[in-house]
Amino acid sequence: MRKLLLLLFWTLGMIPAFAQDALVRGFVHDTDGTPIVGVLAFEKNTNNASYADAKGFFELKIKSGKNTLVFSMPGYLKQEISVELATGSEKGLNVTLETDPSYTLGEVEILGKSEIREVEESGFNVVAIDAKPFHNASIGLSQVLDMAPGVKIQQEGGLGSRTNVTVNGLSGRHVRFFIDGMPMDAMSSAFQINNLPVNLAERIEVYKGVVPVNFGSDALGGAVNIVTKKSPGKYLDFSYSYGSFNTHMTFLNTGITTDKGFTFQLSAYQNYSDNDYDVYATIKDFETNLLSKEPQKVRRFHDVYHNETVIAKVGLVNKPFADQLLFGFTWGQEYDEIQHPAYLNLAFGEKYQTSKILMPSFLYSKDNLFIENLKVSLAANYNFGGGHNVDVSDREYNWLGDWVPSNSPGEIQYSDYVYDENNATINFNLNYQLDPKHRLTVNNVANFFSRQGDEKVTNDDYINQEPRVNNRNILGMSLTSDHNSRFSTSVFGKMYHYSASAYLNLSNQNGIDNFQTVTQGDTKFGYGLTGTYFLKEDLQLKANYELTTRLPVSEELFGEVFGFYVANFDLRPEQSQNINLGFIYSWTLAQDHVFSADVNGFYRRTRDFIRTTINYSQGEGTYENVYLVKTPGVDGEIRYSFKDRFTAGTSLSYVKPKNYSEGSTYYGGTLPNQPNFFVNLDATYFLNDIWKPESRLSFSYNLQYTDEFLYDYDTYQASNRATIPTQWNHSVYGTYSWASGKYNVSLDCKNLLDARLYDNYSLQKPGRSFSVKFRCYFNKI
Amino acid sequence: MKTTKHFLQLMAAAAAFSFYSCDDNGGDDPDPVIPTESKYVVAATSGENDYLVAGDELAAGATYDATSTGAVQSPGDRSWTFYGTDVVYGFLYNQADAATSSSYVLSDDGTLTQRNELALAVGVQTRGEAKGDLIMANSDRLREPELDQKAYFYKVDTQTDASELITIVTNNMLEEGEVAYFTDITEYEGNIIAGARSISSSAFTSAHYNSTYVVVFNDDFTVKQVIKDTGRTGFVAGQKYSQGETGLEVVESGDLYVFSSGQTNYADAETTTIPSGILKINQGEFEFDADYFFNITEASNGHNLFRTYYIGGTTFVLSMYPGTNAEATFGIDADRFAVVDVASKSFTWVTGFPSAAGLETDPFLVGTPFVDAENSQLVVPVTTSDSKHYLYTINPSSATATQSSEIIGEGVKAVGILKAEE
Repeated sequence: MRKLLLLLFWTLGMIPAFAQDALVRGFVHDTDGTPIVGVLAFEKNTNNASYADAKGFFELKIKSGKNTLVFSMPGYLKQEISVELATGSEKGLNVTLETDPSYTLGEVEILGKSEIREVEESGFNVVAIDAKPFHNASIGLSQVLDMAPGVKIQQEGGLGSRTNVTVNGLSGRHVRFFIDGMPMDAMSSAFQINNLPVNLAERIEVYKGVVPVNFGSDALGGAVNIVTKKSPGKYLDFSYSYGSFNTHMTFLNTGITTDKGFTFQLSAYQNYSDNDYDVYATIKDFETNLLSKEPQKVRRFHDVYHNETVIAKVGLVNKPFADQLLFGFTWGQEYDEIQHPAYLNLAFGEKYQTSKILMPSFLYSKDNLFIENLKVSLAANYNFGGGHNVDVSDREYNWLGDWVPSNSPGEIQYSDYVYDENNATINFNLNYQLDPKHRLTVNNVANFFSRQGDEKVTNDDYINQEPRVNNRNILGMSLTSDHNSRFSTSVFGKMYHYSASAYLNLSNQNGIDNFQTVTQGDTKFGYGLTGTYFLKEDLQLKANYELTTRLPVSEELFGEVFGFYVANFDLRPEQSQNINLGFIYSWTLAQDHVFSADVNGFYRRTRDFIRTTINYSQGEGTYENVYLVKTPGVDGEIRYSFKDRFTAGTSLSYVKPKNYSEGSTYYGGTLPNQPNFFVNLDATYFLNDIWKPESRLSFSYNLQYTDEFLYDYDTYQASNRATIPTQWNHSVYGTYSWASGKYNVSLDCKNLLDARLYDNYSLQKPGRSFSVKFRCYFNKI
Repeated sequence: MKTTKHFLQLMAAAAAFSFYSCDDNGGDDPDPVIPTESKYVVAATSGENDYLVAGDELAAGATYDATSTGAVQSPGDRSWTFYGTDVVYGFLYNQADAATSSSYVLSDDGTLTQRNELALAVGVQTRGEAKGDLIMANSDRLREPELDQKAYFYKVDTQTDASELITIVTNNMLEEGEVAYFTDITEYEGNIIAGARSISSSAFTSAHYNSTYVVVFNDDFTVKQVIKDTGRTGFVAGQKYSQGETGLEVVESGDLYVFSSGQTNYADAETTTIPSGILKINQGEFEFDADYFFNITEASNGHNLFRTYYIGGTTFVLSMYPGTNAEATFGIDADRFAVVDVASKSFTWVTGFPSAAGLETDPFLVGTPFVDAENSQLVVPVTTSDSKHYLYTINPSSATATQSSEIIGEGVKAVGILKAEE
């Protein structure tokens, strides 16, 4: 999944070159005929380059006429080959590279920097997950994210269920989500991490703790940036999967970029599941109004989830006035049946909610604008989607699906609530290379949020008379210095501002009478420093420090639109000091045995930490400021690969956020309800060229282990205290690809041992499931 | 629901600014005498979940530690009701919709065990003992005025925890055009009776603030009679948020005393003045005694009564809150107590609570008091303004409060006695 997996999977090549009108294809191997992965193939004296893929194949578009191609790979002698091509012609090459006798083994896997390498070698504590290896598997984006060290997903149920992401011990809104650098919090629940397909992403970047200024982020725990696929030329990626619980997932991504610079890209996808997996729950007896003493195995019967999304982009690339000028539109909708409240002891049979995203977007970027070395980009979007919560049932259900007429309408709270969003985001980014060693970045992200709701079943719906508004602006500036090839630093400062208003009842007492428009706002400053130093060519040290602020988001201030989270308008911004220190080391035992390891330690000191608490009595959650939280932790990963045959890795994460609210009974207690220790283990074995030429068969195994954690502070030691039990989740995947990855079929089995898995107290996740996926992928058709 | 939330936030805020040291390990009882048949039981909270802690005595040195291994975790934020000394119920509240509740009993070995989990279709706003059952009620409050407004009565068998739901329509029950909202339940002369307020909107408005209603039910909860008084005091309320608790008390002589806060609602508090007071229904009668009225607002010099606790004879302890009209706080800071004799109409403030002089500006929080009949005292869970948690005992004859056991936790909600079944 990390940089070494890059060795083993197809890379999509570098920056598209559009002036080229001829094509060279070829195969690079060593003197034994073994493919060499990652060889840099380039047109001499140009930047036009490409890399050999996991099987040693490469493609490079070049200008017609006489050219010299250079093949370069550390550990091998460089080779130059002259070619002459006519316009529109194609040439095949068989390139043999000889081992460089002067090269030591330890340096063999130093590759030309891919984008993933570049991200990971920055001074930030960042993991870049290559999503491409997962494009053949029947999993969602969030499950891929779950495999990264230091990252934990807590999912409440099956497909589409509420998902909480923890990065280095900070979770929920402490972690910000971006798609291609644009913040996702204003994008409706129809377009979020729990319903995005993995095929939409080329890679997922997880910044742990300190986040670069160009994200305009006020994250404390970190940021997740989903980088979508951008293929040059013409391409088509289509997949369909079917699996247990009547789960259907379809994905289509196609596009064309002409030589003249016109581009059109279309992504469309669909997810559907009945989520009718078995759970253990107590059964209400309608005669006695008692719950059964022992839980029974029952099938979920009201948990259908589906969403459908289309993303279209049209525009121009590589023009004199713009590197990119794109207009886009995102349309999406979701339908989500609610099976139970915050705990699994009661069942609902009719409550559901829907939401939609309607979002035009704009992107402009230009290198060398007006002056040399000035790069400017402006991205904007406007979401005018909305949603609907429906809880009007006149029945009361139990977990057997039996029902009796209800005496009062509504299952959790009688509601027929419609809301409209008017959310805009503008992201302006400026990069200026002052001199070869220094780069200045200025970024400003402005976010405008307004939600107008209407509770149709309530006459005195005062609270929805006025829209809820939350406008935020984050200005950041950084100076990045490459002191020499081994040592880089970056200093940055940020200014955070928000201003929110809502129409709220101020009486807090009996009766609803004192409604006023309340405004809340604040301005905070932050700063930080990152540095990276290569102690040896294969041993990198990273360190960074940041003082950061996170502004409360709309859901925290005003409550979720519907569901189980209620408003706390008195929330203050939280501030945190983050320190990270990490090492990355790679070494090779023998020529074909490559190891890499990284380890990161971190410490967070957070004031006014915003934490979710579930209010059991009302089945609801709320957000509150906790006085002081200190979070030490460590995570690490080791990977091994053998040629292009085998790869395995394991990651460990340990994090212990503790509450230091003075005078409380939980002083020094571990924050409840989140995992503290978890381990991932994966192994994949590849068989090449069986049955069909240019084919590959792979078998993967994945284990996710999550140590038991508590439902309350560990300073409360009641002998019957509730725990979220240890999880062992084994999964296996088999994939057969042929025609160089154009066609793929995969068969997955998740939760192989049918274990009872829980990420949250009482909320059981799906048992063993099977799925099959077919995918075809044509690049440069 | 919002208001309950704010109350919790208030508690949380109080906790957040607290400073105290844990100077007791708890759990280890140096006294080897373990009377297993009877235990004091304290309901405390971590702020996240509730905990029940059992102990043998209430005394300044006897600490109840919710963080100890001997505590019993009861997930969630509950309200606690003791049914005699048999069982304690932890109710989760979810307005008009489903919530689960747990019952706990004392085992022979002196440990607390969960007996059942109750799934009631509505939250519980008021409760009372009548005719051998625990009766719990929830009333619609005109949130959806186009629908029939209903009251929901659960009759809980306190041996098995099984319950039966009876639903009645409350439109026009007390007054034409208004609905009845029940605030206390008890038994009088072989009938289930309930105190009620008449409301005309979800904000608890009414055109009849100066009336007092006692509804007499048949066994099937059809209305047998509404006993009404007008012009002296207001509704049987003692209501905070949507919760009512007390107000109807049958004394040893068989007379029924009816207590009213004189509560209006926020919008009308400024213009409508209704004094807190006590009315009486003489034993066997089904009408108010026209000659008996005890004006508590007058006796207390401008305070309102909130909840009422019957000690014995004609002695009651009342919890009181300050302020009349727009200054009224409607039970939010009912953090002072008075001893009254309803026969002699005497009123005596209880002394001995901490920072009693500064209560208006520095309120502390009070949990659900417990009438310790055997010791003729009222036990009051108190969270002081510096966020320490204690049980105080009120001696009615001296009208003094004494600090008793300390509670280790983030809050204390209720206290009572449980006895193991024979």
